[in-house]
Amino acid sequence: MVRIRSGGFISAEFAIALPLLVLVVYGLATVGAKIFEVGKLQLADYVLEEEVHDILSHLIYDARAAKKVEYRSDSSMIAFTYRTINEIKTRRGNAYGTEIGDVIADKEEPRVYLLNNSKIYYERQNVPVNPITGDNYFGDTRVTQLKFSKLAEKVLRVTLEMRSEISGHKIKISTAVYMPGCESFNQL
Amino acid sequence: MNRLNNERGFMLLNVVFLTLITSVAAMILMNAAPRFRNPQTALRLTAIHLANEQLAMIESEAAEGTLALNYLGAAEDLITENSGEPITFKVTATDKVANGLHNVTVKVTWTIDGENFTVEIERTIRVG
Repeated sequence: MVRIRSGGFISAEFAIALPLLVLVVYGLATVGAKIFEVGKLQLADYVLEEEVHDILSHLIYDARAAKKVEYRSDSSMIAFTYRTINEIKTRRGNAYGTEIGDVIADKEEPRVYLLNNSKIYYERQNVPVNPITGDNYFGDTRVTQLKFSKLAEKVLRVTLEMRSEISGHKIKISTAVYMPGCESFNQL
Repeated sequence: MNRLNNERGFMLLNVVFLTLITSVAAMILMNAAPRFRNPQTALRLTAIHLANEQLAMIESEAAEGTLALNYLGAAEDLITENSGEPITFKVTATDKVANGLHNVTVKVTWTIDGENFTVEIERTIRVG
């Protein structure tokens, strides 16, 4: 079917709607770009805060269960050896606990945190395994300061400062951990 | 003259376009809402770990027999620069005894632009 006098509606439609459409799309594009920029920084900061919190929680958890703590004077390494254990056999399997009743670990082996190339690693059998900070696509981070010190007898103080490579923001947090079962706490 | 019935398909398509544009706009704007408010996560996190430091010190003192509630941690940890300008935290602790157990609550407060923020953490501590 051949339409002879069509086109008036379409051109009128475009004459009215196109400038409007262009304006709306331009506005949304600018706002969208801004939001994605802010979102990128926010995401990088979330990763940064999450990593700082995660490292400190690991250190607190390990320190509270430690019998023996050793750290290097430049704070590039800390090793926690867990308290000795009594094996408790149950019907479902083996649980392990100390005489004061808290469940700790199944083996007496040191858990070693290592600072290497601005990243923190676990060390197993003298080999650093995957880094537990950094290497994150959304917010790569660097450790700018890590410091262990003895705040009191059986109290370990940790200071950790990290910087996000994407947002450039820094976060520095200090915390102290009381180690109830600590028998030897020394600097290498 | 008005032969709009020829353009029915185009008009229906307009409805589809407008719906798409509106939904994209709504999506973008609703995404923006939570991102632009500042939840102060870094400061809150610092306060939580400061409270932890105070609890660790109280615990260590309590192991020797005395429950001290004044601030015992490192003095430099009371000041943070995590939000750009220095902010000073205030640390207080209260002890509540129930059934021979000491429940110590540590309260960390700070102020930004006249507005107060608080973090409270509680731990059971054995004395002696």
